[in-house]
Amino acid sequence: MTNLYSRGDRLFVIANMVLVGLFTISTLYPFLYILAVSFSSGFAVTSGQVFLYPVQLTLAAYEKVLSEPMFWTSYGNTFIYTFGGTLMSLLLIVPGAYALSRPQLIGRRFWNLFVAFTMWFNAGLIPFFLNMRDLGLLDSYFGIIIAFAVNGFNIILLRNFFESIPKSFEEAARMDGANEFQVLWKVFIPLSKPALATITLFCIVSRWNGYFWAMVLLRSEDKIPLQVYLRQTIIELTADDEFAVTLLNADYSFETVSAAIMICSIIPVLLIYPFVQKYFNKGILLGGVKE
Amino acid sequence: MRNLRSISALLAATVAFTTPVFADEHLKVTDEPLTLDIHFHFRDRVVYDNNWPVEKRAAELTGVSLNNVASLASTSSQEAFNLLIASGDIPDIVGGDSLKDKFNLYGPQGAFLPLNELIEEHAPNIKAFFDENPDLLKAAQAADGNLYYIPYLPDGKFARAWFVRQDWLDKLGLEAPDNVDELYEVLTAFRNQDPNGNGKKDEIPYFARQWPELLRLLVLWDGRSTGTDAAHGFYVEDGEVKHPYTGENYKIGISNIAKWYKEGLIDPEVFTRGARTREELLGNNVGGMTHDWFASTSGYNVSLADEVPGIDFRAFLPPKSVSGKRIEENRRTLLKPDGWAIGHTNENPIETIKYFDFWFTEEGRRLANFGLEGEQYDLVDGKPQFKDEVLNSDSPVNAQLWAIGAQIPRGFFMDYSYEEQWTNEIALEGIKLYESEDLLIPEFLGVSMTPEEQEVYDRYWSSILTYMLEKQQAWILGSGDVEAEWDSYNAQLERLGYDKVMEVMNTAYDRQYGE
Repeated sequence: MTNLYSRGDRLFVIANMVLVGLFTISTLYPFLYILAVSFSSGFAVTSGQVFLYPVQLTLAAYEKVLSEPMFWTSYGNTFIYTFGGTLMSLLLIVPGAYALSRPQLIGRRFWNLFVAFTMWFNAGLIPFFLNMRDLGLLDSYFGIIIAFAVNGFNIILLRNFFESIPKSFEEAARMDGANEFQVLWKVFIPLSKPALATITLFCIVSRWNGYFWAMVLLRSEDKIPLQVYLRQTIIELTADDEFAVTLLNADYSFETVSAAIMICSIIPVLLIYPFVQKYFNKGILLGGVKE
Repeated sequence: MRNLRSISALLAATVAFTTPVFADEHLKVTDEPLTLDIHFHFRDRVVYDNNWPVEKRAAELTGVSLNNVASLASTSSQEAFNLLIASGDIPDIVGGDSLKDKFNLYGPQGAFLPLNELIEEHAPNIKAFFDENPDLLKAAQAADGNLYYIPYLPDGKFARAWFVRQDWLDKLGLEAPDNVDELYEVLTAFRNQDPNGNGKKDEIPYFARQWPELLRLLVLWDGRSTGTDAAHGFYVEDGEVKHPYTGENYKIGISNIAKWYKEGLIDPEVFTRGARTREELLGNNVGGMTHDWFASTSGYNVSLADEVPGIDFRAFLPPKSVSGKRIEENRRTLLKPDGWAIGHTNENPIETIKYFDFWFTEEGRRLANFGLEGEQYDLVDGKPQFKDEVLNSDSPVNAQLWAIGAQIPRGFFMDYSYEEQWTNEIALEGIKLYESEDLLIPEFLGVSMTPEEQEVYDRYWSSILTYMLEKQQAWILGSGDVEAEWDSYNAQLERLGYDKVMEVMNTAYDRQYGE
């Protein structure tokens, strides 16, 4: 057992370990840093004393964040956009991908190109904004949810997966008298869990992080998602220059407050990841493989 | 939705008017209450608020109330303005910060009304201001010679100043440097003689929170770093627009800055340290000298009193240049690109300009600067004096004023005395020191270009400036040699179209400011 690896192999393995270890540290460090900042005092952070662990431990930043009603409002909104949006996405993407994967679809090549086209070209900010305005979708939950429900990439990914499912499954179902919906619901969806999990995760993460369009399309403060609120807070707190004050005396500074918001906002995503990950590894590979 | 909004605005207006109005009627713009829609988004975060006490008071006095239509979700004022223009739904009034160029671009195209005639006939106070300050009127106008916005006009003289650790000077037996040679000696002494007394050579003699402040040193070799309120701007000399990063004085200046950098007199991380530089370097007792804002920089004496015992960071006069000239290059700008304009769909332009004029009356100006009498200030010998609870609050005075709608960048003329009352002692001493000499130099307030000129400028300028800054940083950091590269630098500027830009700048300048 001890000599499982030759000397050269062992060196190689050690070098790998070191490299992967370094890589892990470099991805973990930003997270640890933000965590440390969120628990440090404003002074310790602005005077550059925080590197790895909290200095002058305080909960002031969290008190500031959690006591703002807007934080909770926007947090609630983010849940609405994330789960409403993801549900809407799946409702539209799954049947869409299924249809595109069926050889009997009339004009299939055209529809596939039609969808793929949107992966390379889009209308740009202003036309999209005007379009949304004319559809009456500005400043509404539904507007945000419906406007970004579908993207070409996810459809193509799922279509490829559906195409990779052996024909015999479908034929067997049809023999038993299944119609299209039953084929999709009873055969394809149960077989596509990894791909669906992947797409769900993509949707959740992009919804959760969605910032720019929410900022452009919404007008009222009580509809904004967490990311817009985070941005507002940061801008608010960086204004000390205009106000000719130094934040040195404060227990919190904009760095610690924004770090605290980031930590608060990342927790739900961190909780979801472990459950989806086992599908995720498999799904992202499978999507691109054809029979 | 739209109906609902205007009904609620109407309701709000009615409520405002049912409260007894004791003010006399001479400021009334209209007998019938009038509500105008306003899109006003500024500093990426503040939106005009129908409930600001200042807005309500103005509505009582004038009969005109404003109703915000700007997005409360947007965190980019420029984006909000661009979307407004794109959507074409221009409301009665549009305002905010950094909009001068946009007003002067879209105004001539018909989005905003030209104001010259309206002012002439209906706005005696605005007219009086511009009659007294014809250069500001010229500077605010578009290339077609019309005025499209009423600007926010700051007051006061000095903005940034030279600051030094006076306690370090005392400790080392030195005086505040009076000229460029003495400055060199002081910085060298900070570097070598351990003024913070911790036995380590960790002092950073000259630092800058915003790295372009490093370039203020160019003035010491009779160069310039900028001529405008922004960094890297053009300046005017002998009636000609020039750019500071060309010419013999720049060459000498930048060579010396590179030398100082190499000798460790300048923060090695000056380009990257960022907004918290003062907290970091002063807080750790290693920073020696900087060029920064009077009020905020003086504040560190108070906020760091415990962490850095004996800290005495105070302003000193700008050192004399090699030719013996003493100037402070930075000043408070006279004309902000902020303010408000009248949208082309406005059905009440006369009432609107009268309303704009209200903010230039004595009462209106006081309201815009100090807030409400009895609430924020009292009149003492006819002069507004902030109440103690305003001055002694935890929140900065201007933050309190913003929160009620005063001092926001609407078109108004600032009264510097509002700020004087809460500027700290050390800053006031510094300002007094600066006022004791003739240090101010004229500011270049920019030009308004015709679309053709603008096209030339847009095509060439950004790559020229990028190249200039690249070279500048390379020289300072020592990865290039000024002497050896000077000719090729000028040749490259030429190739990038420098002369073409200077030509349109000067054409525009002559048209705008020439007789």
